[in-house]
Amino acid sequence: MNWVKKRTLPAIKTITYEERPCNMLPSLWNALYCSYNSATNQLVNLTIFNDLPKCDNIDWPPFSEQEVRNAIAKCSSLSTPGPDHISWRHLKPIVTNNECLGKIVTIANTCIKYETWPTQFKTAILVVIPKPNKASYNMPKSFCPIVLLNITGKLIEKVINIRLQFYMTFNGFLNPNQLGRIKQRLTIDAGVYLTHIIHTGWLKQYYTSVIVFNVAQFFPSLNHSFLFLCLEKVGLNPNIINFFNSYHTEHTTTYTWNSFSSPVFNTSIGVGQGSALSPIISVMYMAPIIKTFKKKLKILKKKFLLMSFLL
Amino acid sequence: MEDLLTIADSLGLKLSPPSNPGPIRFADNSHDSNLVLNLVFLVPDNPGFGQHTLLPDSRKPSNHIPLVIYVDINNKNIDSTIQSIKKDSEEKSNFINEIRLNVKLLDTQVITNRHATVDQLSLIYEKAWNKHSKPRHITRHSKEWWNQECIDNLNFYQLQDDIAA
Repeated sequence: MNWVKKRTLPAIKTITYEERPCNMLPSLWNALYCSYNSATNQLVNLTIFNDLPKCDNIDWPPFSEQEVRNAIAKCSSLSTPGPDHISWRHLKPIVTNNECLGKIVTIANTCIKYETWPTQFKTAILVVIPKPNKASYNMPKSFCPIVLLNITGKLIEKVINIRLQFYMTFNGFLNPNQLGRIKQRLTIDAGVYLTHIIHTGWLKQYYTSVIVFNVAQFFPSLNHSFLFLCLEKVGLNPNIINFFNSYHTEHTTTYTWNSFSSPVFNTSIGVGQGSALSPIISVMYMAPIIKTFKKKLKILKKKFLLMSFLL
Repeated sequence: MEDLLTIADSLGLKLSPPSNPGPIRFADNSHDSNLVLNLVFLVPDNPGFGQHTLLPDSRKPSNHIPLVIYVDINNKNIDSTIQSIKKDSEEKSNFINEIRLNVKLLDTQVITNRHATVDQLSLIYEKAWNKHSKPRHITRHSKEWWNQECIDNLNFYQLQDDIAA
């Protein structure tokens, strides 16, 4: 199965959830909802924030038209539209008009001013894409959940994403070894870096070992209480933190499977894969974990190199 | 076989007998006997229950014979229509122009309700979409490369050659 081309759902056996086949649509929707929200109500240890210093406060000036232009310039015209049916292909010619662009910038700034993320931008359609090279496709976890969102919200998310990337890199909140989904820190760099470290170790005749952890279902499992504490430590002002509070609450999702659609489900955990802010929020989420892990490893008095990357 | 019947039963299905019972797998040699491998399961109130037919004369070189069942497929069962706007079409230009015009008129100065502007924007998108999108049938020929020439050739082929024969 090709990862980069359009993929149709493979011929599969019935989706099985908790060892029971999903023969009817309601049981399929339940299987998808439970699989992609499995971390709901899981307790999270927030004590790691006790010793974590807060970064310098960040100024958040109003968004400019140029920021929106930069954000939309690289959007793929081929991506699937969300519930509003508008794709980048449609929006690009609309924002070339300065008056229209000005209105969108005003909407973005109003969201920050009133510390709110409108309901229309929280309404998502979730489609599943088969993960490549799976032995079988009879479980929801063999599929990647992708959320499709309304286009204006996505554009504003992209602008916020660029800002957060810059601020968190600039004030040192992100570890330099956090790679992937950040400008000038590509996932492929992680491979190059790792290879370099191993080769250097061999030259010095060290015994080099690599321990790799894969966090399964990472995006859908992010805990929102943990995220708010992250945002405080980043140095964002209360106005922006309250905005993110609104951003993460009262999301609704409609699941789809081929031409069938589910009833609306409320989602209260994780970030949607497909949202422009999800990658940077995930990187931000990892930063305190990496810092704490690094601190603990110092006790062992061995040479360690920590690295994390998002695919 | 009993296990299979139990599983089918748990799914609300019953073994559906053919309208003309007989073997469906013919032996390769004269020593073995022909086999009846008839495993068609249906909901009992399905109009096709007990209606499938064996076609022993159509097996040709194969040792399995084909089964035929008529399935009623109509719009009520499968909705294969979607609303869409064609790429690079006049309707797409009109769609964008209408949105552009209305977004320009969007009142972002007097914000009485925090979500009012976004509500208005959603309404603009929705109205433009409903006005300019058209219902289109999804078929196996909905690919971008499928053009009028393909339609004409297919029609010609179907007139020349009766596939069912």
